[in-house]
Amino acid sequence: MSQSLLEVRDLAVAFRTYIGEVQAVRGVSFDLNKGETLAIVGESGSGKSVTSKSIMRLLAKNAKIRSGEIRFEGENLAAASERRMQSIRGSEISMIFQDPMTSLNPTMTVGKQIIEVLKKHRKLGGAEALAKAVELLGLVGIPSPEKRVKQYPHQLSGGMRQRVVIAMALACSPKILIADEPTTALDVTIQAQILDLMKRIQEETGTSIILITHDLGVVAESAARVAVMYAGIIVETGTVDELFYEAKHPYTWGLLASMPKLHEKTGELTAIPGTPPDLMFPPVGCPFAARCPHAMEVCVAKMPEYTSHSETHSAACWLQDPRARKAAAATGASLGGER
Amino acid sequence: MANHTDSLDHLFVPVRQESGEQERISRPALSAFQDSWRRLRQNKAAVISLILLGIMIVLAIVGPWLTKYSYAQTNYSAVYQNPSADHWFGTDKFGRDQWARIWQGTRISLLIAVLAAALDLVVGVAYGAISALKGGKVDNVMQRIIEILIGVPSLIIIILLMMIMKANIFTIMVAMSITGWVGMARLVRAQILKLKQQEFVLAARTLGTSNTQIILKHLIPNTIGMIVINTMFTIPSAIFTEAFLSFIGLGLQSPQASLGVLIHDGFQTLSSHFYLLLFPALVIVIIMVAFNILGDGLRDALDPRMRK
Amino acid sequence: MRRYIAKRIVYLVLTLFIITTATFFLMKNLPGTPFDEEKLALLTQEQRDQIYASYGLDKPVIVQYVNYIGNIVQGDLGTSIYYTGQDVKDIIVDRIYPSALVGLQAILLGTVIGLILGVLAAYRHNSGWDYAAMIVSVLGVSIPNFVLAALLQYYIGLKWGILPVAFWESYDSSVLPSIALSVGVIAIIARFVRTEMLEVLQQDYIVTAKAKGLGQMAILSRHAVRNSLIPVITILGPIVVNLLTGSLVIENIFGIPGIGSLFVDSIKTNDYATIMGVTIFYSAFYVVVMLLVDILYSLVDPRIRLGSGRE
Repeated sequence: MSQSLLEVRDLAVAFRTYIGEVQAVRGVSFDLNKGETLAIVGESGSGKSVTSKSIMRLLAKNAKIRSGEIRFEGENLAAASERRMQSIRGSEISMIFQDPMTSLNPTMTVGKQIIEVLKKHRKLGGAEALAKAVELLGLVGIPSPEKRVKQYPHQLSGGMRQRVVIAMALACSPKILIADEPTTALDVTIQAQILDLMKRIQEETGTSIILITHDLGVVAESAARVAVMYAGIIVETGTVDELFYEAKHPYTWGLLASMPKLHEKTGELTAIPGTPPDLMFPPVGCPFAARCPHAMEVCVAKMPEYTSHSETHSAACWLQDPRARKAAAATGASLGGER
Repeated sequence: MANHTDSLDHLFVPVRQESGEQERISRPALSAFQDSWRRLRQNKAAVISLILLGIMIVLAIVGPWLTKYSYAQTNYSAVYQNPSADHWFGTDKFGRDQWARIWQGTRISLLIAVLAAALDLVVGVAYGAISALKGGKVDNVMQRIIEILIGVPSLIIIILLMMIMKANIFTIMVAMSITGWVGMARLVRAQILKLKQQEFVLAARTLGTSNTQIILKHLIPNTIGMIVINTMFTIPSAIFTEAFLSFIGLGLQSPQASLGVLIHDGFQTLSSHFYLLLFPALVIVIIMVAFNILGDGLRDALDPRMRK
Repeated sequence: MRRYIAKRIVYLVLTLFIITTATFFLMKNLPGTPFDEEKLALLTQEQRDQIYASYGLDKPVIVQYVNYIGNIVQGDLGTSIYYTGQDVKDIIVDRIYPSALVGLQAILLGTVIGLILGVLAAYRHNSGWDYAAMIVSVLGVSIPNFVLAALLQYYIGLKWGILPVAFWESYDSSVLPSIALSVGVIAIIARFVRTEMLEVLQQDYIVTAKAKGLGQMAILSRHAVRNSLIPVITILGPIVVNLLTGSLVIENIFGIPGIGSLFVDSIKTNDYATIMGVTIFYSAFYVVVMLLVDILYSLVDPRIRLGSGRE
C-alpha cells in the first residue's frame, strides 16, 4: 500500500474581481502517493492551475483559499505561515511552469539562477554551488554543462530552457514536483524529450509528480493516475487504464472522443458543444449538465455524489446512481462508456 | 441518507433543454472602446482632471467677458491693487485687471499649444504613416532623416528661430512644430509597422480585404489611441515652451497676455506683490497637471494589457 | 557593435553640421547688430568698415561660413564681440564648472530619490506610497521649473534666509539651484521606474523566483529592481536635455555664472560668436551623451550585448 504524500481535502479557492467573486475551485479532494505521477486534466478555466498553485501558496493577491486542507506530511499547507512556505518551496515541493521563454530571468545567467536555490536551501557556497549546478545541468541532459552554466537564457533553445527550469526545480531533491503544462509551449518532438526526462528522473529519484495538462496524449504517456477537472471540481479519478478504457463520466467521454486519432479516417473532429459555466454564479447541480446529452432533472438540481468503481476509480455523476439505470431502461436511452 | 435520496427519485428523468442554451454567453461583451471608456471613468484622478480642464477651458473662453475691464486697459489710479471685489485677481503695475489678463492669457496659451500640437499631429502622422506604409527604400530614407533630426536639441532651435522672427501666435506655433513633429512621426511609424505585421492584418488580407479598407478599418483605429495620448502630452509641453520663451523674453511681450508673459511680469515683483505671480502660476500648474494626469489615465485605459 | 558606433558617429557629425549651418544662417538674419549702435554712429564709415573687417564681417556670407567651419574643425570658436577680445572657447571653459556642479548634483539627487520613490510606488502598488509618489511625479513634471525656482528662492532664500539666493559665492550657492533642477529629474525617474517595475513584477520569472522559496527582499533586490533599472539608462538622454534647458532658466534666476546664463546673455546682446559657440557646445554635448547612453545600455543588458543568436 503506497503512502499518501499529499492529501488535498475539500479545497475551495475564490478570486475577488471588481465585478464579483469567482469560485475557481469548489471542493477538490485528491491524494498523491509516493513516487507516482498524478495527472490533472481539464480545459482552461477548469481550476487545475489554481489548484496546483494553491498547494504552493503561489496564488495572486486577489485569490483566497476559502476552505479545505492541503496536508503534506501531516502539515496543513493551507494554514502554514508564509515563512514556512518559503522554506518548503524549492526544497520540498517544487513547481515548473509553462513557458520556458519567460520563466527565467533574462538578465541572470542560468547558473546563477540554479545556484540561488542551492544557496537558499542547502547553504552551498561559491565553488561548491557552481559544481552542483553544472552537475544538475548534466543530469537534465544539457550538453557541455560547464559552458552553458555561464550563459544567459536567450542563448539557449526552448527545450534547453525547460531543462534548466527542471534542473532548478530538482536542485534540492524535492519530494513533490508540480509541473504546470510543462510541454505546452514546446514542439512535439521536444515535448517527448522533456516527458522522457521527467520519467527518467522520477525513476532515479523517486520524486512524486503532479502533472497539469489539457492534453490527453501527455497523460497517456506519462501518468499513472489521472484526475479530470471541470468547472472547479474533480469529475472523475482513476488509473490511466481505467480512465482510457472504462471512463464513467460524460465529460471524460467527450474529452476522449475529441482526441484526433491518426489511425481512423473520420470526417469532422468531435467537439463538446457549449461552453463551461460562469464560475461567478456556479450552478447548483452538476456543472456539466448544460452540455451533457444524458442530463437528467436531478443533474440540474443537485451536485452528484462520488461513486466508486474500484479502489482507485470514482466519478461524480448521477448516471452511476442505480436509480438512473431504472430510468434509462424505461426510456430506452443508452448509458455506458461511449468513446 | 435514505430520507433525502427518496425525495430525488422523481428527478431521474431526462432534462428538458432549450436549444441553444448551451452556447449562451453569460456576460455581455464590451467593445474595446466601451471598455476603455469605463476604465477611464473609474480612474478618479483622471475624471477630476477632465473636469478641471473643462472648467479652465470654459473660463478661458468666457472669463475675460465676466468683468468690465479689458485685458489691455490701463488705469494708473489703480496700480498694484490686491485682489478685491472690483478686481478679482488684483491689478498690476499699469493698473490692468488681472482677472481679464489671466483668462485672456490662458486663451492665448491654450490656442498656441493646441495649434502647435495640431500641426505636429498632421505633419507627424502623415510622415510616419507614409514612411511605414510605403516601406522599403522610401521608409529607409525617411528614417535616416528622422534619426538625424532627433539628434538636434529642439529648444535651441526654437530659441534661435524666435530670435529671428517677431514673436506672435503664428511664429511661436511654427517654431514649436518644426522640431515637435519628429516625435509623433516616430511613434506613428513604429505603431503602424507593428500592426502591419500582426496576424489580424494577415487575416484580413486572406479574406480579401482591400488595402484601403485595411488602412481605414484596422490600422487607423488602432493608432488613434496612441496619437491621442501623445497629443495629450504635447500640449502641456507646448504650454511650457511658450511660457519659457516669454520668461526669457523671446516670446510674446506685454501688453499682450499669455501665461508666460504674466509669469514673467509677476516674477519681477516676486517679493513685493506675490499675487501677481501666484495666480498665473496656479493656472498654469493646474492645466499642466490636469493634462498629464488625463494623459496617464488615457494611456492606462487604452492599454489592452490592463484589461481586467 | 563597432559598425554601430561608427554609424552613430557619422550621424553625430552630420547632425552637428546641420545645427551649425542652421545656426549660422539664422544668426546672419538676426535683427540688430552686436555693436553698440550709438557709438557706431559716432565713427566714420572707414572706421566702421575697419571694425567689421576685424571680425570678418565684411566678406560675403558664404565665405564667412566656410571660414567659420574651417575654424571650428580646428577648435577655434571665434572671438566674442560682447566680451571684447576673449576667445569664445575660453569663456565657455570658464563657465563650465558652475553649470557642471549644479547639474551633476541635480542628477545625483534626482536619480537616487527618483529610484527609491519609483521602487516603493511599484512595490506598494495602489497604496499610500504609490499615490504620494505619483503626485510628486506629476507635480514635478507639470510645474514649470522657473515657477518652482521662484518659489524656492522666495521662501527658502528670502523669507527664511536659510540658503543664499543668488550669485555664486560659495558651495552653498549651488544647493537651491540643484534642488530646483532635481525636481524634474525625480519626477521623470520615479514615474519611469514605477512603470518598469510594475511590468517586471508581472513577469513569469518573478513567480518562478517565488516558487524557489525566495523571500520578498531577495526577489525584489535580485530580480525585480535589477531588471527595472536597466531601462532607466534609456531615459538618461531626455533627462540630460531637461537639465540643459532647465539650466537656462535656473542660472538666470539664481544668477549663476554658468553656460546657461552665458547663452541667455549672448542672446540678449546679439553676440553672434558666443551664441554660435554655445549652441555648438550644447549640441555636441547632447549628441555625445545620447551616443554614450546607447552604448552604455547595450553593455548593461545581456540580451543586447550578446546578440540574439542562439547556440
